[in-house]
Amino acid sequence: MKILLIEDEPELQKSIRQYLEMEGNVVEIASDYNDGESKIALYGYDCILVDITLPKGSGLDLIKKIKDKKSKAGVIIISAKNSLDDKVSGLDLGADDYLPKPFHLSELNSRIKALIRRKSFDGDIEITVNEIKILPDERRVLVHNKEVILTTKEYDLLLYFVANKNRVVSKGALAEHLWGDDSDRLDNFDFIYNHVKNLRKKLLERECEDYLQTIYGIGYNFKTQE
Amino acid sequence: MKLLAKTSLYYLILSIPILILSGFICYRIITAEVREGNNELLTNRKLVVENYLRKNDTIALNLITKSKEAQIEKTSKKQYLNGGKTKFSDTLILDKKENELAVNRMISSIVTVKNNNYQIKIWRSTLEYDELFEGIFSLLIIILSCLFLISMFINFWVSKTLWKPFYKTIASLKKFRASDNQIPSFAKTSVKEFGELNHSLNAMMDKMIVDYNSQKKFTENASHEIQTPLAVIKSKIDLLIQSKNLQENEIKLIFAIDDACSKLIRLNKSLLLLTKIENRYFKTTEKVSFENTVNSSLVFFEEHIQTHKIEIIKNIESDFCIIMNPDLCLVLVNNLLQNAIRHNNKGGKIEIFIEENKITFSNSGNNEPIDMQLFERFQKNTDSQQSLGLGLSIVKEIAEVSGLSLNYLYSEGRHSFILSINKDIEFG
Repeated sequence: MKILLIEDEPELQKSIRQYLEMEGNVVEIASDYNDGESKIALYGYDCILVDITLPKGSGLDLIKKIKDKKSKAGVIIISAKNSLDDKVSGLDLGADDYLPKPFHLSELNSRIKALIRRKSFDGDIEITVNEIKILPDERRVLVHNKEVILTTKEYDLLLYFVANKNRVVSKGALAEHLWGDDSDRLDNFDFIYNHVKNLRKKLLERECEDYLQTIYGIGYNFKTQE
Repeated sequence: MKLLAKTSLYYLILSIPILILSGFICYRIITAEVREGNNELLTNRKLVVENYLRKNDTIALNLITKSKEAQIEKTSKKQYLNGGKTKFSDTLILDKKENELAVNRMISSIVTVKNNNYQIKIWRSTLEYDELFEGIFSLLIIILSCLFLISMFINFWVSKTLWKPFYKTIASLKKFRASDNQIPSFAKTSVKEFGELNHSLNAMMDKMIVDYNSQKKFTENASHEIQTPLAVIKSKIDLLIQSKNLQENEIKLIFAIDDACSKLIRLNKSLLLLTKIENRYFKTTEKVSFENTVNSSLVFFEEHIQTHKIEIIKNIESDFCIIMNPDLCLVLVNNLLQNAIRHNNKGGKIEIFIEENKITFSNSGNNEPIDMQLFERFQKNTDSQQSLGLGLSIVKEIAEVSGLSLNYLYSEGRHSFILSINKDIEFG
């Protein structure tokens, strides 16, 4: 996948690039408005991540440019402003998602994947990881072609793990994904433990390989390769 | 008590001893004058009688003695004990008309006529001193009540006219809020002091508004600026945990950093939210149903409620609907519910009672009422590590901008937070 990151903070650029490139994505970076404008005009991308407050211009204007170009790229706003106005006007302009800073890299990754999935109507909308098949449209999960009945939270967890497979996902990221970051962290960690336990049990019952590794004290790794 | 009422009260209290003193002096002067007048008159009469005696005018003497106002008798005394020949005294003599003893002024004098000593006694009824006293006393009372009435009237009049600009100033001060960005215009006044007061108040409020705005700007900017470095830290932690072969010790360090970082993020978000509410950022309003909001909030906290084995009792008399920002309403209910869960006992209860204009969240918990300080920022119970100490101040702030009044009640281990429509909300 080819991703354009329009963001002015160098350290954040590095982090996002490093995380997304682990999966073999190509990440290009634009550090200001002009840079972003010319890259949008010259190349095609699958996904564009736009910060709203940029040097020399507003990310909102860039979104307008992307849409004017009738680009197929999915657009995700990543903004520190976290203001409803920007969210609303951004989405009105045709952005596909809005992720307020600060965010977990795993969350960004799962949002990108979900966006790409929604965008590619022509392709098959199935996610297959070895014996696991996820049908996002129907929110169904099959293991060895037999259905596994999951709760909403378990399903969301599995999708998140699969999107970030072979990556360590922290409990904090999972908690935020499921409940937002407003509620009690310690409580949420207990719930995550229980949900993951149940999810693993249900998968194992269908003779699925045990992909879920617990990383002590940190979180989990959905490991499909050595 | 009003300033004017107080001053006139002091005047009245002080005037009582002055009146008593003046009454006393009055009494003394009157009695002294009366006595002197009587003495003079009696001395004159005595001279007349003495003259009659010298002339031996028996007819006149008889007439005088018959009038029961004088007595003449022979005496062997040549003079009185004190060496004088004349003395004055007050004596009680039966008044035939009123049939009671009355005070009389009497002159007693020893006169020597042709080697005979006569004692002449002449008396004259005088003022009744107790009546005089009574008279003066009632006069004083009348003066005092007149003073009282006059001071009341002056009070009324002065506060109606003279102090009017002052009360107007106070009334507009009461309405003043730095967040409104508006300095009340004071009525023009011809009183110099009030003019100065208004002038300095204006300057002060000007300064307050400027300070308030710069502080507001600062909080907002600071929160925004903090977001980016926080995002960097968070992303670096996400990358750091990808490293292979992390030692347990390192994991503990990472976890502690992550914990502190996420706390900082939540803190920053809450502060930003508070600033936004204060800045009246959430302008869009619509009709919000508290019943629906509570229901969605209960779903959100489902697992927390189950884990803490808390019993939820919902009692809905009729739905409480209000025009406010729906996002804020959810934050409001979420915060109150989270509070009720967090500070509950295990196996405790939460009662949610919705009435037409009121919603009450009651929860079991500590056997002590909470400190009202908790509604202020960064005030929290020391035993709650998770809490940021901003929850209740956010609740308070949202209630304030949404025309709701927030009350807290404690009775027998039950903490109740009551939201009700603010009756004196100003529309527009």
